[in-house]
Amino acid sequence: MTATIGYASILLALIFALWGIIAPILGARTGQNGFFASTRAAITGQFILVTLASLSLIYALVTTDFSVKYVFFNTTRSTPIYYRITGLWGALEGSLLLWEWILIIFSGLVAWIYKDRHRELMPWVLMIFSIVSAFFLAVIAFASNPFESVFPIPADGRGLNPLLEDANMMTHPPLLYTGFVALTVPYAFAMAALIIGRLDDAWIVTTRRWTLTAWFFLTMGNLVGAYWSYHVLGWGGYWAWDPVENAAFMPWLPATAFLHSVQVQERKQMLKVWNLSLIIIAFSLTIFGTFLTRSGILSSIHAFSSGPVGIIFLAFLAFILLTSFGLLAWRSKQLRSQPELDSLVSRESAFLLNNVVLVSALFTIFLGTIFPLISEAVAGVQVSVGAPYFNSVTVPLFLLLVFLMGVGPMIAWKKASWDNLRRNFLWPTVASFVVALFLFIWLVRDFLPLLGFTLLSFVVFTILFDTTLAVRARQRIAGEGVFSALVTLARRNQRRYGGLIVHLGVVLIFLGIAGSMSYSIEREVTLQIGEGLSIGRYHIQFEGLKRSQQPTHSRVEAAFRVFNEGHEIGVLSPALKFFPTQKSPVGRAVYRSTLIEDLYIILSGFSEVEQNQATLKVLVRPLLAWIWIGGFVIALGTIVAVLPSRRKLAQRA
Amino acid sequence: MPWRRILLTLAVILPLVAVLAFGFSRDPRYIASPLIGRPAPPFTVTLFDGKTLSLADLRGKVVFLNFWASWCPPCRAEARDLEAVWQRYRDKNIVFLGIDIQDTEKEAFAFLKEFQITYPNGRDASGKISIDYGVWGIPETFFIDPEGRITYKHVGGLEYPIIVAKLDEARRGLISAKEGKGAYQSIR
Amino acid sequence: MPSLVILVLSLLVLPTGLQAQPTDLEEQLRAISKELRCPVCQNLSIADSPSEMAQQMRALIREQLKEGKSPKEIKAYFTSKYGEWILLSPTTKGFSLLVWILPFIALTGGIIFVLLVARRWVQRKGESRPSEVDPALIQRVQQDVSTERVWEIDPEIEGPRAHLLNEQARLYTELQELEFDYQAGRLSESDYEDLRPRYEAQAAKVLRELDSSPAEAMSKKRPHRAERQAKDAGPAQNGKAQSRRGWIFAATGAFLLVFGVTLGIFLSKSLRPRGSEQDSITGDFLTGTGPGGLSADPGMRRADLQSLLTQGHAAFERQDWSQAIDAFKKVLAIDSDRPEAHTYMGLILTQAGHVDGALLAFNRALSTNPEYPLALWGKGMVLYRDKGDLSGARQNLQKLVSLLPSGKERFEVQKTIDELTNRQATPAKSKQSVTNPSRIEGTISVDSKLKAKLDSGDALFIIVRSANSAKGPPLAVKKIDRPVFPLSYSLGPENMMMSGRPFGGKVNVSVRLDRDGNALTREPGSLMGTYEKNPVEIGTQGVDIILDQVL
Repeated sequence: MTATIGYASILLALIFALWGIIAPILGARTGQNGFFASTRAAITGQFILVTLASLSLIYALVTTDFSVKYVFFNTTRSTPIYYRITGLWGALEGSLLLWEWILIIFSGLVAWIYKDRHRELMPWVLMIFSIVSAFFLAVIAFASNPFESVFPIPADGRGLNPLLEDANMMTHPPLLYTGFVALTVPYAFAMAALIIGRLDDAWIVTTRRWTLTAWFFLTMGNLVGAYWSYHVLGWGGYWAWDPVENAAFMPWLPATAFLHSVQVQERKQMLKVWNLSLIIIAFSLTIFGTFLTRSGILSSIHAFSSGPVGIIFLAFLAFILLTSFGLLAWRSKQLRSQPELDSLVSRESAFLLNNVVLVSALFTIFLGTIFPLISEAVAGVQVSVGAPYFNSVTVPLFLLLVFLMGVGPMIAWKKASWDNLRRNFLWPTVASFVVALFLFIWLVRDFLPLLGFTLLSFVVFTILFDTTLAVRARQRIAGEGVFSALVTLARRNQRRYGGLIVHLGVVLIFLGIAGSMSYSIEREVTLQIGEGLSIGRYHIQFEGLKRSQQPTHSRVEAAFRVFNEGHEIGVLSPALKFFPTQKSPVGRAVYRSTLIEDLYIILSGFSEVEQNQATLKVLVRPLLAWIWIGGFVIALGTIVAVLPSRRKLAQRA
Repeated sequence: MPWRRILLTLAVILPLVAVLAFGFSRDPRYIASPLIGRPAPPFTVTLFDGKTLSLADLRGKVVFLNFWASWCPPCRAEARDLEAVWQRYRDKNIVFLGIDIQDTEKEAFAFLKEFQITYPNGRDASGKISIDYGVWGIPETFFIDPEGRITYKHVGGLEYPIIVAKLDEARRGLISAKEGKGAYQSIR
Repeated sequence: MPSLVILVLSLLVLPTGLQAQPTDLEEQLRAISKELRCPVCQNLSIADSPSEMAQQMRALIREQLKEGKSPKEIKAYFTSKYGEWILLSPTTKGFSLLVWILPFIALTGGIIFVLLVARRWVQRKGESRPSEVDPALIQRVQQDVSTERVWEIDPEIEGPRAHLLNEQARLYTELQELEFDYQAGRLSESDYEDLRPRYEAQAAKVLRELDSSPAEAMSKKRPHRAERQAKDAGPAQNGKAQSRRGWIFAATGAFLLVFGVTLGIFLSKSLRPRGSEQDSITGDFLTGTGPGGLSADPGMRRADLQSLLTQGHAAFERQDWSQAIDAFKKVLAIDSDRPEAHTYMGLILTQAGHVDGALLAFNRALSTNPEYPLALWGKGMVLYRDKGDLSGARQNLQKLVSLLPSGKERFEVQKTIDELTNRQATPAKSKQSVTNPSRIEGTISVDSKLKAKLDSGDALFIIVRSANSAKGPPLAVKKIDRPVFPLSYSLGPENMMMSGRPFGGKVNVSVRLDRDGNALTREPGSLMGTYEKNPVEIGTQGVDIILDQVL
């Protein structure tokens, strides 16, 4: 029953979607307004039906209705309820339904918020939403249907992959999918603007908050994914440059570039074609990401089992690229502007450089990800492009980016004279050199990390210095005190100060990455009971093995007593979990995190026969916790930037 | 119509899509072997009956070298065919040699007994022989000609007719252009 | 300044000398392992991979390092065996050189390009000249800008003045920012004095246009807006242009459709399914497809025992016989006398109809532990149901009863014993008499003409359908793998599809020998047979069926 309701809803929603595509075209041909107005109804209809379908799948999962094949493959009777719900996105079919659901929620929101505004633009915006929605609905209905039934009805299900039974499973995929889907909003507005020929800044100003929201979810989704990798997968790392990880990261780059170059377009009416291209690329990369995960053309930990879905996604990707860029090319003459710059040394140029670096990073990561395919297709040679390559090749790019983060906020718009530059940058530069000297003498001797830390401190100093100058300017103009000056500054320039807080967050993340990449210590050893290992400032002693039986698996834990330079700080017990459905055990590493460093212990193996032995791998990773702290700071900054100000709300009313 | 821009767009997008589409035509986990046509790496293995055998001893004969494990279903599927070919074609100049990898003695014995394998088999405990031959999936079979060169490699289960055909090619020293592929299992 | 330069240069030079070379063997091993890719995992290096192959490779590297080989030689060795694929970082020779230089070219090319283009834009700026403006307008501009008001671009204003109002907002914002930057000290005095009049002049021009009547404002519109007005005024004029555009759309749409369909057809032909059914849906994380293991060391296996037993139990509960057999076989490989494993094997064999094998298994279990309850029960039931050895069955079951504490289980077993005793007392009159009211028993054989069609991989399905409803799910199904004919079978309530209903009444019994072992599909070539005297009452014995039809 639930399955039939679900499937029927999907089919009906598809019909609504098709109507949402045809209606504006009919409206444009016949000139009757009724067609345009009906696009909203199409979206509303899809929203209700897709929500119904998603809820029915969730219901089937929660009630373990094993007549539905998807439920059979993804839950068992003993799976706790929250993991049954996460089963919705645990496998291919369900994840497509989740994507579609989030997409239609966003479409509904857009349709509702702009109910009486943008009369000319909206029907086409909704048409674009309907096109994407129709695609996903068609795939769900005909190629990978989560509502397929299985017969005879089995007694119990196969269950979720035990690696997915983790709290992060509840946050990472929805966050990431939301980020991807949210990029559809500025894309839809951009395409609609191109279609009707309204080529001014309207679409940018309207979608500014949506793009920022999408960027926020993308950032958080990727960070939670990294955290999950670190916390659960038990190899001591947080980013493996796996093709699907790259695919999730890649839309973030043009989105960030866009957030910056859009400010240049607002001021100078230039870079219009460039900004439109950035949004098209960002959206296409989200489709590319889902394609990569479901096609099986690159081997990846994240890949779903492949099927015919891969070809369909490739065809859709080709369709999106060709029509979007085709549309852009067609309208490009009207978009041509007469760009003028006041000076080469200005914030505009800094933003241009920022874009170059970000797009180069995108190109590099994209090339590296599909290079094995290119190499095999063109030269017939099989190569691998893995973490060592990406780690070395992205370093100069990120260093440049950090440098620009420091320079950008300090340079004036339009024109920055050398005299002023020298005055403004002298103090932060000197301060960072002092820091560099300090680091060199006491801690850091290697060139690249030293350069990295120096640049990071440079950024922090420029932000502090810039804020000080701004507060002083406020005091001069309006005579405010320090605190009220800060508040007014933040209120009047939400974007700017939100952006500065975000930059701080990024600095902290880079700090964590630089520390943990350059100075991690790793050791692998086999210990008998009572034996110990010294690593860094820690001493670890093996105390013994403990077996236990949990509801879903059996477990072997190894207890290690940890001493930090003499005094004991506790017992860490990594474990190996044996699941009945898995042939190899799943590791559960444990770690102890401080602001200075993380101590990470992985249990690789054990033997009870030889007097209780344990083989373990221990890592000490400096500064790693700052990555997560940076994530929180970014979240804070984005909230500051995105909240509607009271003044603006008043103006609108 | 800005044709130049449209052409430029197509020139970038179409090759990209073509490369991605190419990806569908191959298995991303398949590793092509550089060993075909090269001399077979030498090794010495202790057989299950206690004797030792090295590849050098088999110079002048056609060698059928098969890597297997008892827990591998495609190995089980091909075992009878292998034994059948051996029984039919065993003469002084063809040797079948099985190398058991990532296994325990007991299970290997049970496997040999179950399928009544009579050709010599040995165990590669350290994995050195399998790494020497670039083994990544089982069963993997190498056909070696009397001069000691590898003429053909097949990843996956074999069937009677292919074995016979490739043995014949090996005898004549013909090096195959392509590797062969069947149902295989990734090693542990 | 010079001292700064020297400091920077010295920083560049020094560190290269200070970086330590890894001298420790383990360090070297780790460094090399990080650069080699594990052939059985998904994108892991052999340093990170826990798979057996990776461990063997690391051991080999350690050996080679001890022999004195250099990292370069070791990497060359692995490349000669697995190809360039095994290097996680591509080489700089040949085609792979592209992946190193293209990003570099992209970055430097991009920077140079941007600098050149920006320079051109700056030069263009120098060419435009500020025109004469009314000072009164300039004053108005200055007044507007000096307020605290925030000038926002409103994307939704429509109408002829919309563009002008937005221009005004934009220029006012620029001026306010100019002022702020100057006050903050970011802008020098000279620059400020240079830029401010220019922007004020532009703003004044906009104000003048705004002041003039809407009619005048209309004529000063931007070109494309005029286009749009003309479009509204003369649809007939542009009708031709529109219909041509329509053709272009249609042609593009058709092309894309054909392109997509062709792509789909060609690619589906060359698609190959990935992996095997042993993949979990999201891919086995650590070791890719297939069974993994901790290590080959038999000592370690002892730890697996418990987990294997758990696995086997779970599989048995799920009726996943092959997995259960797998697990219990592994248990027996470690501990060949484990009664639990033998008993479960016996139970599975009973399910499959291999009665003799089941008995052997139970006996094996009982030889290790003569009081193992489950084995006693299994043996007793087999003797009773399938072998008809009532006294033997009773012996085993009574022993079981003596071991069990009182409770439901004991009660059930006692009931079975009583039933048994009754049967012993009243000997079976004829093969057709009702002996066990809730079972169907008989023999299945194959028609001699069709014997050649047998395949060892087949599975036999015995299907019991309620006589009232021919459609819908069957009442009970029993699957027997690799059947050997003639086969005697016994079907009971445990084979029912859905529990809760009584296994009784009139039914139609049929059998199917399936090619692929999948109950849901019916392959041509499958053998079928129906009981001639259908429908039959449940509880009948001697329900013999011959496989005499081919699908």
